[in-house]
Amino acid sequence: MSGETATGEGPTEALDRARSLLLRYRVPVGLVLVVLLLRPVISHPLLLGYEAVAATILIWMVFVAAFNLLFGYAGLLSFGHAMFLGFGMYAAAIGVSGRAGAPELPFPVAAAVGIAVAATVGYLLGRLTVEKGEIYFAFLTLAVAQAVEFTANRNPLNLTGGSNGVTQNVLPGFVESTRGQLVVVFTGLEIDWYWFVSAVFLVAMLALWQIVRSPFGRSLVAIRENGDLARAMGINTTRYKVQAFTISAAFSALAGSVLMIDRYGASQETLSVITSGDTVLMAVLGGVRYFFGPVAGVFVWQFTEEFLNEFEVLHLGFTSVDLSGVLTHWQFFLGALFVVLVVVAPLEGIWGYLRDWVRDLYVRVKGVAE
Amino acid sequence: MSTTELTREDLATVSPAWWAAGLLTVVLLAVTFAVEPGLFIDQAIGGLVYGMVLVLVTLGLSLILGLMGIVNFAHGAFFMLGAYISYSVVVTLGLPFWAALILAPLIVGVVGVVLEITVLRYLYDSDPIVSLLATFGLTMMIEEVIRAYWGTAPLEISRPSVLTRGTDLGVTTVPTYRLFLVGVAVITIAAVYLLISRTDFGLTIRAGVQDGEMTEFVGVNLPIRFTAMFFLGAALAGFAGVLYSAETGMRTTMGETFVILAFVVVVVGGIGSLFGSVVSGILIGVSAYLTPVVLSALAEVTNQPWLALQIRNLVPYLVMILILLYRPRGLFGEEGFLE
Amino acid sequence: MSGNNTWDTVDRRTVLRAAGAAGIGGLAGCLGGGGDEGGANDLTVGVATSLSGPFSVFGQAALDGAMLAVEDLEEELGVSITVEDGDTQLDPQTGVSQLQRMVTEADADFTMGAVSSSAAQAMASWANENEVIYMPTGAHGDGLTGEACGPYSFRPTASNSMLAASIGSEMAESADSWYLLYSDYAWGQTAQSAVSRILEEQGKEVVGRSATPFPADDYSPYLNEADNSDADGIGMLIAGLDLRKASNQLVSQGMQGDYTLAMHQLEDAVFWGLDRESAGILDSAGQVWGPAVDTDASVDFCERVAESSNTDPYVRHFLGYLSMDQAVRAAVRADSTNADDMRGALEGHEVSSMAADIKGGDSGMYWREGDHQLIQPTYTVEAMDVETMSEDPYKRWFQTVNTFDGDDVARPVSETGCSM
Repeated sequence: MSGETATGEGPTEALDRARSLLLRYRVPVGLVLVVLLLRPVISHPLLLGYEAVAATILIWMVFVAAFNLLFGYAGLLSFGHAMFLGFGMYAAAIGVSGRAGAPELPFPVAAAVGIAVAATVGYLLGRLTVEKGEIYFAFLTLAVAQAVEFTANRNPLNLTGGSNGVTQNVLPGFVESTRGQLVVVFTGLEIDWYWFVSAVFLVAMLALWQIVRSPFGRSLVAIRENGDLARAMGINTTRYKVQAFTISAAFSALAGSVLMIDRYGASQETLSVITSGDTVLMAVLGGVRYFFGPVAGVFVWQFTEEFLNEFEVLHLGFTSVDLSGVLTHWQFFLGALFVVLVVVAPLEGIWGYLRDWVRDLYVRVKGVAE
Repeated sequence: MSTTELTREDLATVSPAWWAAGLLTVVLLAVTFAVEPGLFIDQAIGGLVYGMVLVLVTLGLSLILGLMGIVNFAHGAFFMLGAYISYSVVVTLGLPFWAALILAPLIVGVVGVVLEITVLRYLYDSDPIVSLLATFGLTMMIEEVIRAYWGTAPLEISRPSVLTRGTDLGVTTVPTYRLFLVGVAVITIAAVYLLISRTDFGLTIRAGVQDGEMTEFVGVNLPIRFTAMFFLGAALAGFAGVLYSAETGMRTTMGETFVILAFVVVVVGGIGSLFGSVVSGILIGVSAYLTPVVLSALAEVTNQPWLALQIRNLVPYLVMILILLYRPRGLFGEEGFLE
Repeated sequence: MSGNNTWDTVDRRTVLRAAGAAGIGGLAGCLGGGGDEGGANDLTVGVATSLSGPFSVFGQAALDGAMLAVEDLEEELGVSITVEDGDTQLDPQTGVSQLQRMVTEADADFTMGAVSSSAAQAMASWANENEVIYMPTGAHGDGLTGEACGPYSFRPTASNSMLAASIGSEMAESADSWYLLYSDYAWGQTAQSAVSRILEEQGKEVVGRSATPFPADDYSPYLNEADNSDADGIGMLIAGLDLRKASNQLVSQGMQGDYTLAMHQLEDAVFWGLDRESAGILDSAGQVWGPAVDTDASVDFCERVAESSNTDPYVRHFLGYLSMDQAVRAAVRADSTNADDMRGALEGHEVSSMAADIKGGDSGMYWREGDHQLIQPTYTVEAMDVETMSEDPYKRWFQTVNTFDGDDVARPVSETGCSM
């Protein structure tokens, strides 16, 4: 099998076991690798040289992965997912700041309120919409998200701050920020914000992973692939879809609550259709069929945005000056890449191609070795 | 809120709930008219006019979606491209507005043809979501081209001076330019309707969508007709862009604002129904203008000031949510289409 | 948070940097660390403003003005100033991200910028939390020197309530009942309440208000509402270039002859897209500064702007100049870029630089300690006769009618709601 038969039974078995273990836990290992590599890679002077983006990228990965539970696994394209991110963000900001007579809450409680609100809205909205046909589902979620944004803009009970958002006194007690550096102070220990976000990222992503590989997750895929068949087999497809919507909403709100600290408050712009659209783009770019698709999509998107924009701002040297004019139009190139991916295979994304490529490479290397 | 009482063929089967809703609407409008007659008339006519503008903006999208089954998110980008090209024609080339009104749609139409041949042609058999995603990517590209070429600062052109003043309709004064738009919209709708339902071209397209193989078998060159159809859809979007931006100026966000509104109009009217789009455009225009007046009249009558919500921009979405929840195919949509 | 733990702060920052997994990531290669005490010869200034989108005309002009100040300051004070610019679009969170990037990556010593009040408020809040001096260059919303004030944010332009108080008496004289159209975000909302308050204090009536979304294309329904309100005057508190759109639609609905029209904050640039006759659509308007100010220094400044900037001189150029001038001088006076030292150098300081000469008015300008508002003269202006409007070397279409002392139009600190 592996061309190492000459060295005897023991090592091969051990190697096989190690490999199967690695294969089985490749998602957790991959997630840890993302956390360990992301910041060094993007803050490398030759790339971005800017660390603060790393934490933001991790939070976005959680959000887009939550979105993809609904789109990639349950086959429901939500065009209004920004509202769930917003519920988490606003609840955390309002709770922590205790503005307008709202009770001042510790961050975990405020975040939990946001998650509960998002889950409830997700559940109710799901009940009304999941069986409406995918295009109609997309537009219904979009319309409801518009209504949410509009409501936040009206500043009900002075809670949401209208177009100002909530930006005053939004840092919880355990977070300190000095000249742009965020630190989590926890029982006397000072933990870099990035590691705190990493912990949230790992917990949330592992939970999502458990969900997609559970019988529940498999049923979702079955429903997506053939709803009629799934129904015939006795699966209550509506209930599964509603549950997927609820879970997706809850995880989105979790990401929103952490994003609130990372971006210093809740802003109305986060609720806009542009956020929802970017979410779709990132997921599809990465590959909606794969668990790591959203991770890849967010990384490529955010990195491209920051990296190519930076070229102009930083004037890196003699060659980049010529490029800067073109590279600021990164959206054009990303759009082109996106169109190509969608036309060739809409569900594969970058991650799908990367997988195929690695697999090909592996087969070829193995072929050479044998 | 509903106007389903207007659908003659359904009249017999309309449920009591719809009758009640219709009755309530009539009562609310009557109360509003009694409380604020002047404003009511101004807003009703203003809303009617605005509704026709919406129909004009939606027409190309409605055609492409209804006839070809392509969810063309790039409609907004075509709309915006038309607007910006008209800026170049008028300001850079120094040609009159009327020249822009012809040139810009042609150029946008050609862009549409290029995109149809290179991208959309491969998507006719796939899921509508795929065409939505692909045109979403195209939108990103077109928007970036616009930002790169014309910049992000708002631009504007001056309209022919004959159109800049107001026209007194007796009960209210309406901007002359908007009346001009209504006229153009009526002519365009009629022309498109005749093309689709009375010409060989329209008939073969409709046949081709239903059974492409059979249609080609009888000797129709479908790809060329689909391309021509897409040219028409894109050119209509560009045309609307020129007309609309002459009043409001060009902004790099106008595409995304309008594509969403246009989708709302199409979905409410019912996908596949030109007539539905016209009705729903007017319905949304009028309700957007009238709802705040109705609410403020209601607040005055009931003495509950909190009722006077300023929810104008929310109205199109509320209309869409209500319609889709109770009648997912829209007002005049074919049953089962994309459901 | 502020005060005496400055050294702790610096220590922790240093530790953090050393501990950072990838070491120090600054590419700009600036020498001085942000917020250091002692020495203000090499300054890096972060200018984060709206360089794309509907307000980009404003943001770019402010940046151009700031660059003129850099020229003057380098020559006069012998300092070297690096300007790190960044685009906030119209988004508060993008604004915050830009400030964060400037301070952590480019080692900006202090910051300025923002056009919209919403973005400015979020950025000010970040700066106050992070001990970074920040000047919201062109944001007029009252919140910045009200509930949202803070130790390290200093507002160089006049507040909405100062402008409303300036225009208020003229509005009260010209009509008894008013309808207010206002852009529905921080700036418009505080403008609306300030103008309403002033009018009602003068015994006039505000018969109705419409909150208009911003930006919007269609002002017609709101104009209909105003037209049916029996008001004698309409206050057009509409932001940016949208004022032009609303004015156009007002003319095309045949309403311009029937009402007195007023605006509390006029920016010349808004009207340059209209023909000269239409520029006179407003019967009276408030202004922070404009080419209408005809002091020698102001005329000189206008000529310099006309040479160096893509747009003709107007208030945003001056605000950019003023912000850069005041922030840099504060650092030089304090001989430090530490936020607390600069704060000390700004609070109560009376402006005596070129910026004060350009601004004009006799009452002078000073940084009020209680709310960090730059108390300054304000103007009311009107359109000139079409024949006397000049185009060369720059557009001058308006002339001043009245000049107000800053202390007369500013609310007392106790009424601002600011506590530091």
